[in-house]
Amino acid sequence: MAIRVKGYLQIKTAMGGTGEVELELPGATIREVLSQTAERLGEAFQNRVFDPETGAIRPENPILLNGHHYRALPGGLDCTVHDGDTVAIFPPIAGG
Amino acid sequence: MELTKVSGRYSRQELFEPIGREGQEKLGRSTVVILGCGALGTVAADRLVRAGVGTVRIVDRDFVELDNLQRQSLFNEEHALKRLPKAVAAESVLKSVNSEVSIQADICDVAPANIEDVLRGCDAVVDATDNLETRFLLNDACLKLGIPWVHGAAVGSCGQVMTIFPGKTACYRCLVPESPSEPLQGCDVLGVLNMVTGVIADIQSAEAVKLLTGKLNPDSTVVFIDVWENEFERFAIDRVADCPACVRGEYTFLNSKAVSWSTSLCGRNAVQISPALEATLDMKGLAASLSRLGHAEDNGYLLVFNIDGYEITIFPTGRAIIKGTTDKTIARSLYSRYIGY
Repeated sequence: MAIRVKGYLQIKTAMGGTGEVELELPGATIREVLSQTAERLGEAFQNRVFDPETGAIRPENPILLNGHHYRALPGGLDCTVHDGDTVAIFPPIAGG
Repeated sequence: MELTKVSGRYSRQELFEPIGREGQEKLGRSTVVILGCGALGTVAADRLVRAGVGTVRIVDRDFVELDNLQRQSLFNEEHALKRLPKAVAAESVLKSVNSEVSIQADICDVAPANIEDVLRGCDAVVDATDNLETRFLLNDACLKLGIPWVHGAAVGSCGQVMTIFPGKTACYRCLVPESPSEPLQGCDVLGVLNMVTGVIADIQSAEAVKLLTGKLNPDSTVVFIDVWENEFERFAIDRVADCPACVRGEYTFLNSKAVSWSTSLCGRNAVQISPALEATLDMKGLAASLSRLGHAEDNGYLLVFNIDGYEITIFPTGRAIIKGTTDKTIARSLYSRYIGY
């Protein structure tokens, strides 16, 4: 089992391919999973998810652990991720 | 249900058991605001007028253009040629669809100063806006007034729906806590398929009907759809314990004291400037003075002025859409040069 990271819309484009990666990171936090994903995928993903100036995770992208927004989880981005979990990132949509 | 009781315009909808005659009567007593009459708003307005919602208030700031017709299904080429305000064009079409519904066209750009008046008294709002700033404002206003609203948005082949019930569900800021630091790519960059705007607006309309008939189970989920990849997903958006809007009640956007409100327009190389307080412009006088500088034309609803490669559309309330730039500073400069303030 691994941790699955899945991107939507522009995040998917920045991830390339199917917009999904799998990582073996037992005991990692959401923040660590995203850092490792950025290390593996490179700049396009890095800049979409992390603020290039502060290095902080951009607040505007809803990031969900197994369908639950990290802001409502205990520890937020420091919440622990387990094998089989999915971290999904989808940017807000403006159009209508 | 006895078949003899089922007749007329809404018979098929009344036969649908969760609505029935009772639900139909509730719809008939309801008022909905459709905020924005573009790709989502035209479809939602059409569905809710046909479904027999008693009063449908269509609020939009814009006029019909040719590149709207690909996805904004109530409009036609004549509307675009005449540059009719979208709310007026939608009203005229929908009145011929269902004369039993009170359809109210409101040519209006919602801003902190007027949104509460626009929404007050309605039972639900369908979010068919095209930018995040207005959604944050709508979120604040609906929380304050206790009005449920159905968020919808679409870009490319993707879209999402979330029904927000003040006090019962997560709110929009539980999903998106703040504006992105950079402009969000919209349909002007990524394009948009009419199939996704149609699906999203249909789901929004169904949510509105459930809500108005008392059959909605508020569950704080976002439905995400990609019609190109055939992806359909649901995410749970729990209420955030310290949400500035729905928990702390700060209403940052509603309480904004900005002197004017400027937004980049989705799908357009354009910026809109709205004065904080509505004016009453002398349109004929303005047309006369601007026609000395460039081409100016007044169609009775709005004035179009062309200068230096920019097209400035001016409404009697002082609001203007400046086409030819996405730079808010340039747009503000053009506004102050030719309109004033």
